Amino acid sequence: MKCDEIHPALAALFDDELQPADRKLVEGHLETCVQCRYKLAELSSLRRILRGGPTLRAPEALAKAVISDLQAQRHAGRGFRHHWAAAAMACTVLLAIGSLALWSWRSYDDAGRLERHDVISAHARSLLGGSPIAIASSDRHVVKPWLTARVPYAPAVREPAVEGFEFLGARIDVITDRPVATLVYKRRQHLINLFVWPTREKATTAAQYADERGYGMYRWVAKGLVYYLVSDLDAAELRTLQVQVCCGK
Amino acid sequence: MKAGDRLRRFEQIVLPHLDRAYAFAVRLTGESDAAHDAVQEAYLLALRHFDQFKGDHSAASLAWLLAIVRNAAFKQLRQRKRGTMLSIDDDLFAMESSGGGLDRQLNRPDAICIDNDREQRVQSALRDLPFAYREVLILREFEELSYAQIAEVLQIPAGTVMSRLARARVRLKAILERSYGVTNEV
Repeated sequence: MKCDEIHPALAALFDDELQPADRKLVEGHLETCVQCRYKLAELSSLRRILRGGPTLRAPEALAKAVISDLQAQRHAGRGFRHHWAAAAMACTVLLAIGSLALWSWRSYDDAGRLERHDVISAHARSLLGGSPIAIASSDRHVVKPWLTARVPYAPAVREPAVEGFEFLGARIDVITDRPVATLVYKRRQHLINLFVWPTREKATTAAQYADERGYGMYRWVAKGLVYYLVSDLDAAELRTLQVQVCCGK
Repeated sequence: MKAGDRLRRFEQIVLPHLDRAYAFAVRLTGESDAAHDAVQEAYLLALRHFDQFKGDHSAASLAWLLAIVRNAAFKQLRQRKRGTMLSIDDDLFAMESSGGGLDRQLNRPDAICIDNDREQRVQSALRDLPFAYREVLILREFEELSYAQIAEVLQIPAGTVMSRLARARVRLKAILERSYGVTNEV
């Protein structure tokens, strides 16, 4: 047997993927061929270099985030009733993460504070006035064209796939003196507004949580647009929707 | 199945893979932030599509989960490349390595910098590989998946796994040799 025929099988031998018969064949060849033995040694040397490092473990912050995400889903599901203790624990974790995020957010400039103030005001206005929606449709293919005809940008419009959240429609608000696209969602009797407008910030940011005047909000930036998701829902429920509207299909 | 039961099953079967999911994402993206976001998103997606997982034990769910992590990591990379946040020289392993091999490192004070240096070389070489080569190599060499499992994660035929893996190894060896001459230890 020639080396050219053996070479492709060397990697399979090395990766322990050969059938016993083929294995014998290749091993027989190796005993007589120093060149192929060298090839095999190269594979093993590469593996040694790659695997020489430390074992990577998920950082604690990630573990906490994943677990609280899962708890939020449990919260959203019907099984919640049986898991008060777990839910309470998740809330504690979320509160800790939330206050950390709030603490880091505090260092934002005055413009940021003004922005949040206006967002809360717009949210509060929508709760007071007649209808919070100017176009009532749960179909994003209806809502998106309606919005893009009225504001000079195209926000991502996503319908939540999780049970218990409804997509009601959209309207235009005025925040810091400019027209802003607002998507409206509902959970039980709680109204949730998602405000979207263009920003100069280029980088995509992860959602940050803050609460102000009794309302909770998530803020994130994606593709040159800043998003504010605001409601009086608790952080875990709001987070469930946030993940849906920011990263869903 | 009740929502609570479903979640409990998910936590038993899929949650234990968190470390491996993270390790995979870090090596794939070369960035701890991107890996964090990718894994967090992947777990939510995995839970949402848990009904599509047909197996019934933890080991079988690894390939299924890593496929979701892989897509989330790819998405993170693409998003971050467009922004300005991508830090190519992220000193990732200097931060992450303190957990795993600390005892071993403490026995040999000089080993700390050697290990970090070596990890950085490996990580930087992996980054120089095209994504398709990087993922197949990581799944084989670090995650120690079989060809069949890799085929499942990447949704490609097993034959393609073999040929791609072969090319990835040749390419990585060339990068390591060109940059550092480190594969000469045979």
